[in-house]
Amino acid sequence: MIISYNWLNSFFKERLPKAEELADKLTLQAFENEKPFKDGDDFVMEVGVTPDRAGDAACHFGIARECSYILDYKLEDVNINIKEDSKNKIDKYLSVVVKDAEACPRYTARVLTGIKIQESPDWIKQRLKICGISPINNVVDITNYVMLELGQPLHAFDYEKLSEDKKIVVDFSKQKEQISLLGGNKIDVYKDTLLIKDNKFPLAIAGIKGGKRAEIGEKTKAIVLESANFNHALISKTTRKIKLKTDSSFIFEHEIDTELTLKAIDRASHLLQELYGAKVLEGVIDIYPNKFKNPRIRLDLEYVNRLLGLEIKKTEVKKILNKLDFKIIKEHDQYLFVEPPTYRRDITIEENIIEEIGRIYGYDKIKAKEYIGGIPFNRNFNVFWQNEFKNNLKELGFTEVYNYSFISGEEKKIFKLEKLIEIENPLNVNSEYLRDSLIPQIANNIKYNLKYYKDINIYEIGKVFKKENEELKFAGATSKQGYLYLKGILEEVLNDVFITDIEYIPNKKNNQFWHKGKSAILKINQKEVGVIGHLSSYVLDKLELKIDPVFFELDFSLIQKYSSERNEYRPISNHPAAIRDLSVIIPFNEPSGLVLEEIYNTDLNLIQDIELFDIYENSNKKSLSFHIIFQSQDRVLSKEELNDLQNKIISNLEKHPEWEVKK
Amino acid sequence: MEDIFQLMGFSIIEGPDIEDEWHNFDALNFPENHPAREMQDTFFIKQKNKEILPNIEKLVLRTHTSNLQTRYMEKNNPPLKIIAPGRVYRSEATDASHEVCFYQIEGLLVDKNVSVANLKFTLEKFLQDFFKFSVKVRLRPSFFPFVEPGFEVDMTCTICEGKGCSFCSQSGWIEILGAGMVHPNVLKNCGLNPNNWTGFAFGISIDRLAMMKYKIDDIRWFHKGDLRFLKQF
Repeated sequence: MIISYNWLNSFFKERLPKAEELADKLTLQAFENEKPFKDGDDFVMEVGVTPDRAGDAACHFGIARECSYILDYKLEDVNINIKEDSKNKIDKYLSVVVKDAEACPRYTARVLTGIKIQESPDWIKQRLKICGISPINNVVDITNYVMLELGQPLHAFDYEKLSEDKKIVVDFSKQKEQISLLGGNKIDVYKDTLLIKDNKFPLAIAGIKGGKRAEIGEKTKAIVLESANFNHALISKTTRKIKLKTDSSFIFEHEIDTELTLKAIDRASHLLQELYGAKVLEGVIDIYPNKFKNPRIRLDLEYVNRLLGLEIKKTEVKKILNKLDFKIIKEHDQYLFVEPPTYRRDITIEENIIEEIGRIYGYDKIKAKEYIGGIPFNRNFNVFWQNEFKNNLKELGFTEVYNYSFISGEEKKIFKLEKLIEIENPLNVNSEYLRDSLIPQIANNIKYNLKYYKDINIYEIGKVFKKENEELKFAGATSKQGYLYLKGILEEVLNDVFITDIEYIPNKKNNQFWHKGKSAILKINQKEVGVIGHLSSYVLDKLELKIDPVFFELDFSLIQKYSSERNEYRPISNHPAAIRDLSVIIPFNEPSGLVLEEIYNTDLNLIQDIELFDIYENSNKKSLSFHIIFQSQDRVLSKEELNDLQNKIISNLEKHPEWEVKK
Repeated sequence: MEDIFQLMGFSIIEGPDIEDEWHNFDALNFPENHPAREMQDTFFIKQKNKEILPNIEKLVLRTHTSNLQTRYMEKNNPPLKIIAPGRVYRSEATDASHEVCFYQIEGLLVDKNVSVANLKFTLEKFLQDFFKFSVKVRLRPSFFPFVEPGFEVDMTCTICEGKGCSFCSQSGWIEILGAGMVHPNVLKNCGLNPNNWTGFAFGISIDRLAMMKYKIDDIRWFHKGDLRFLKQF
């Protein structure tokens, strides 16, 4: 809300503190302010009036009221004196019917004659311009001026342009119709839009904008001034439906004081009379069937102090309430029965009043106090395991990345993703969908960082979004180190949380972006948890990636399920171990893991460890060389036993027709 | 940050990124058809026949972690002492201090006779542990539909330690988070009796705090995936 410092000053006999000082005081006890800046001989203040207070404080008088509370200054009210033309009573010239009192709780109208359309004086034009409103002519300018001053939007119609009946009707539109607005635009309104009309034509969209029909023009000699109160929820809904927001509608979207309606119309009439000699017909049409009843709220003084953590005395509380125009209806022990002023429609419960007391008394007086209570604490294991993994990966030289939850339509196409959750109002093409895999962004991270680094090792643990639920995935990649390196890293972090039953099977599924021949499905404890491998050449091509990184993506919640800190001590054998070497030649695309498994299964007790220490590959075969370490817990293994074991291993391996053991 | 709060006895809870309008707005006392609902720019999920769905079925990307307050309070009785970290989404143009996707930590303490003084203590303690100097906290009036009274919380400027500098526009204070006493309607919406319980709640933007602690100048670094930045930490 833009406020003119000089205008604010005009409500006080005393001089206000300097603009900057005033802004600071308001920030601490009322609303946040930007630093005021100079504009000619005035200062512009940008006051952040919060949505709960826009009904009473989004105007100069409202902010002046706040200043009067904070500074203890006396607020000078505006002049609303009018000399009415007793020869002409308004009822002979105008009648108004309001069809729905809920939509329009109060409607006031005055008729003014002897109007001469001219430019407004400089001081009015200046005040309008500072607040961002363009001056148009004296009549329209006064309606805008009073809106900025008191926070009540007004409208003026050319009296002579009304249909002969001179009857104004406030009613909903009966069907879809088109209205020509001030300024030339035509707009469609629908059923359930509240209109101001005469018995022939629509005159205005209530609370939002005036129509061209009864526009104030150069030749206007008599006007109808309208000052009305409209249902804020209705105005809110309507502005969204017809897609039109104005200064007027902004105010009406909040609940405004119905007492303000009459005050504002008299203020506008006073100004038009005093400045331009307009004649004001006797009487005001005032349709106000259901007078607003102020709520009565019980204030518990002990609760006030308990909630704030203060010890304010009753006399001090009463002083503050009086200053703020809150009426104390009744008093009983620690209870006060309080009636807020009609312009504070935001005060409905005790806590609203407590906030008023707290901020005026001063929050700086609250001293921090520790809360002592025995509330049981529960460790969150999701967070714990994630941190375990992250620390381990950090030690292994991997960098964590965070990517957006969004994915663009283009990425969806490249990675052939289907059934993604779509965003109805994306900010741009990059936020059209929610990701269901971390891989596309990891791939982009690699591509982006290749500008600066060659050796990129990254991972992310993040949420992905499937139609049925949200899942936590763990994905990563290495740009340069290769498949075996990445496999090693994964096994290292999994072993760190005591997951040892890890299996790899060739990925034969038609998996969107994985390379069918060069990727494997990873299983933990016989459950599928994810994939490790290369991306398809189609994707690499589309991404214009010159290198072929290796990626993995696993389901983190499954991993977490099998993670444990439990470790059992395994007795260490005192007997010496023996090592035998073995080389096997297998087809190129046969997983090496199968050979390992076959060897292990020969004798689970006596084979302590197998190390694959060399691989030699050509186009259709690969040769794997192993150190096999034999050891027993209870005896030294004899040469015959070792030879026996070796032969058993070889015969098991040779059961596979395509495998050849190098002899 | 999670560690500091855990040491103060706050349990960590988590929740979904995709939230329904009831939990994200209505339960938190945001009125229908009110500008307060538009205080935050919301991303809506595309759904069939959205107009006829009730709010509890209309989906949005959560705009704050405050939705975790109601989710937790619906299923758990006080006393409660929780923090809820998570990603939040705002549909606004990005610049050095604004992002579409960032992290918040929501804090909630509900018990008998909780006061603003307790809130002040918790925030001061957290900020002191986090920034490792004697931070002071200042409360100013503000408005959020789910708290009353509502506050903006300023802390002593980390750069000049309160003396005044260009970072804090010479005031010595930096605005750091929003907080308040839980609104009775929110308690009611979770099936609790506001006459028996009071509580405070606060929401901290993790990105903002990290930017202040490590003197990072642009919030967009956090999601860029640029190793030149990431390798520094």
